[in-house]
Amino acid sequence: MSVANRGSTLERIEQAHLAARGRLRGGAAWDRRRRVALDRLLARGLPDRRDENWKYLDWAEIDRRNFGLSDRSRAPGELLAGALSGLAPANTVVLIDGRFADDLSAIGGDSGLTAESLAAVIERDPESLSRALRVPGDDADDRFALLAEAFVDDGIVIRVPDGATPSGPLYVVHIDTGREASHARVLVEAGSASRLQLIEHFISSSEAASLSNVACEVTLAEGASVEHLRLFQQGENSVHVETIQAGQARDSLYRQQLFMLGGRILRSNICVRLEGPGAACELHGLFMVDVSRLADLYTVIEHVAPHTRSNELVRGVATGRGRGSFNGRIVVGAGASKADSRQSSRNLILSPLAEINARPQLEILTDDVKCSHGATTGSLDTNQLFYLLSRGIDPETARGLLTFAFCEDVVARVALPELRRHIEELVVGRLPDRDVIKEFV
Amino acid sequence: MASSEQDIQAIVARKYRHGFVTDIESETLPPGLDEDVVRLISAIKREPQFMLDWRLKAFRQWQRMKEPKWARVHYPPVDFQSISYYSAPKKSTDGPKSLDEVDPKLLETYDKLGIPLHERARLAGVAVDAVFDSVSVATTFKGRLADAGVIFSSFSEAVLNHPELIERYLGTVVPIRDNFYAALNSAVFSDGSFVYVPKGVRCPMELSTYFRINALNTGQFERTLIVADEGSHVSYLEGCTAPMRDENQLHAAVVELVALDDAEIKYSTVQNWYPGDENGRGGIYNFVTKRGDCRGRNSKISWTQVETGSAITWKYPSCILRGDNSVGEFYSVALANNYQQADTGTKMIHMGRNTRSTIVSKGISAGHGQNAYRGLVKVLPGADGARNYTQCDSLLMGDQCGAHTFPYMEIQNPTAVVEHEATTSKISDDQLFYCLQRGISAEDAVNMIVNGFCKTVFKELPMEFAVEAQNLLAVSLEGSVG
Repeated sequence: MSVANRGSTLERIEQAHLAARGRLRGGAAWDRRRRVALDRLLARGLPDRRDENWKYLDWAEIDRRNFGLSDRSRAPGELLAGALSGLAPANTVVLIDGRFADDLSAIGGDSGLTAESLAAVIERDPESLSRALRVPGDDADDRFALLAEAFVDDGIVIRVPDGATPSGPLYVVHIDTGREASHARVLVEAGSASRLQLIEHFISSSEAASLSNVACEVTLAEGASVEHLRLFQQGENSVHVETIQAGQARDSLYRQQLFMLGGRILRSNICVRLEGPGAACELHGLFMVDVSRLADLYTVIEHVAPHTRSNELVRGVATGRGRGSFNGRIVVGAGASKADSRQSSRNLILSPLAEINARPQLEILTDDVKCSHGATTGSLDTNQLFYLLSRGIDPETARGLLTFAFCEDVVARVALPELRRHIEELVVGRLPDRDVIKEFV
Repeated sequence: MASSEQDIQAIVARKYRHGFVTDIESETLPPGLDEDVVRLISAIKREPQFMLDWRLKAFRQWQRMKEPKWARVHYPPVDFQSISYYSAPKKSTDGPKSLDEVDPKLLETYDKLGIPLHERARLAGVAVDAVFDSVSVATTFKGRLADAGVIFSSFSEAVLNHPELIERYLGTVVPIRDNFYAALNSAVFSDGSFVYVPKGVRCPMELSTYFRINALNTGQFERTLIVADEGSHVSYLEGCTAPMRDENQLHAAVVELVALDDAEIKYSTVQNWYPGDENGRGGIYNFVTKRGDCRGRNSKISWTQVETGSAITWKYPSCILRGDNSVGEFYSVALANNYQQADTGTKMIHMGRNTRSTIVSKGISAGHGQNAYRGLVKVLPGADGARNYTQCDSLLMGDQCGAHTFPYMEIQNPTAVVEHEATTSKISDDQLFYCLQRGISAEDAVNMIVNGFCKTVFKELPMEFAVEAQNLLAVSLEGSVG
């Protein structure tokens, strides 16, 4: 990607910002905040291929996107019904192109859980939101969050009061509708000893070349537990870039499960900071890339406090011209003695044009730790294949079964049974010879 | 533990064993680098025109390049104009014809280093090419090697005697534009070793080079080129030391290995450049480019390195597995004590079919040392059946040090099998306790455990080097337990 091209992308971002400015909320203070973010973004530029953490991304494809902010808030109802089929959650929130759709959202129950439109919170209480919402840093890995900051206007604010344990999950559907970009902010605050099951489902209503950019912050107070499941099923041309920051206080547990089963490009930056003793995090990820899909997962787990635990497990399947990359950094700081960290990345590469890039990184600054990571890339095990063939299963089905079993490593960890079933079906749907495999699973 | 701690203190205070300066008159160019210096170096060496052209091309390339910053090492900027780019022990006549003519003071230096030159060379059966500052001082066993057809000489001699081989192979593995320090080395390298093993010859003895930086304010830029022709085999050892000085000195070497069909090269390094004192003052910046090209079918290149010295080590001995069925190996022990920093690892580029590579890296961090493994395993679309196994283990001693792992795996072929494993741990209290209750001192126990940790690498070293490496590690580590 030439620098000149890059410059034009930035120019387009600036123009989009000028065009949108008049209709963004929050008054002068928020206008200023957006302007500062834009200026910093323009001064520093977007990262590019020369940046080690961004080198495997398809920048030409991203540069082709529109960065202008969409102002749509309507989506076909049947799409939503389809996405929700069989799940019927009590609490549902819908975001259309990053905008909170009041008419489609319903929050029930008396657990105290609130999920509000960020736009509404900006208008009601601009100052307190300004304090709660993080200002992205200058780091290259935070550049897309800076982009979201430059357009911050809507999204969702989820708050769980201290000690609250809502009985069912909160279900958030993100729908991309068209050619404009969406820059949604997601803010999750889990009070002490609270519990939250959050499901984010990303779909699109058209095959248009969309760009969705999400900046998400999750803060967990003492003893809080957040299960954050994220399912990506966008259209063949949608690009999704996201920056997720989670901060964990003492004895909190954050579990994120990510399933990339659609879309053209998914780039996910996930950074978890274990700031309190006893904090633990689990990251589970599965990506299946075929055709010319690209999944680019970048995770950073920082052990800041002593006695913190992390467990990361990522599985990738690349077929067709699919490209998958996993870049996982574990940082154990000088004060994080007794940290226990495990990371496992396994990848299947199933076609001659597919590609897998893995970078399991460890940075350890103290001695009293237990850290290990393992990464493998290869094809299906020929012994396992032979076993199935020798029992009369045809090669296609055998391969499908083994691939499915490989993905089950992650899918089986989904706690909600109906959701696990749903994801299993999606995984089977991505395999060759799916009908036969369905009989087995 | 009180008495053992005292012992430890005594050993910590022990000085760098090789930190002496040999008082020899030397001819040194004044510090600074411009085109004239490059021309002068070439003229002093009486090089043919093609070498001068090549150096100048490299120099011009270097001027356009920026110093790389990506390694996880920190150091004040190097002033390339304050370094002297050529330093040679002064010669009385035209240079020594045999060992007897070598300046006895030089030989004494090597005696102190314990390298097997002269009679000891015969006993050890090692042919040594010793590089003192920038020029090659003596090459032993030339006769016996010549009988076998092996060319083993200093680089300058090779340029004069075998220009066709140099012209054919120089810069084909590490091109001048490869990186900043390789370009610098290509412009100003003063000497080094050249080995050519002809077709079908198994080199009758281990070849060895000893490098030493002696003069003040000099950089050492040596160049090693080893060519193993079809079906040949050679094992090459390299050792390095430098005197103690408060300034940092730059060492930017380039090593190129070429293995043709069915050839095998085994390259072992025991690097013990002065690491700086316990406060991180002084020491060598060891910024080295090493690369092997398995150009022929069934060829094999094996790197073994024990890195205990240098203030900063920054090097990645790599293998380009171009020929079908070629094999690349990398075994490394890197130690970072006090304020040492090491950023080292390897690249295995699988291009040919059924290529295999093994990487075993053991990093030991103590004191304030920072140790990083950085490696790339790349399987290109044509490399059917490629296989890689990587194991990186880190041992941490003390809560001020760091161990880092930055592996890259880029796989573009579905038949590849690539595995990477890494663990980080400290010496467990249980292991230590077990040894202590059996009357083994804490220090010996740590040595035993560390040696066990490094065993898979040490067993790859030629025997006499393995012993030296073990001792070196023990000395470098002493005092880090407590």
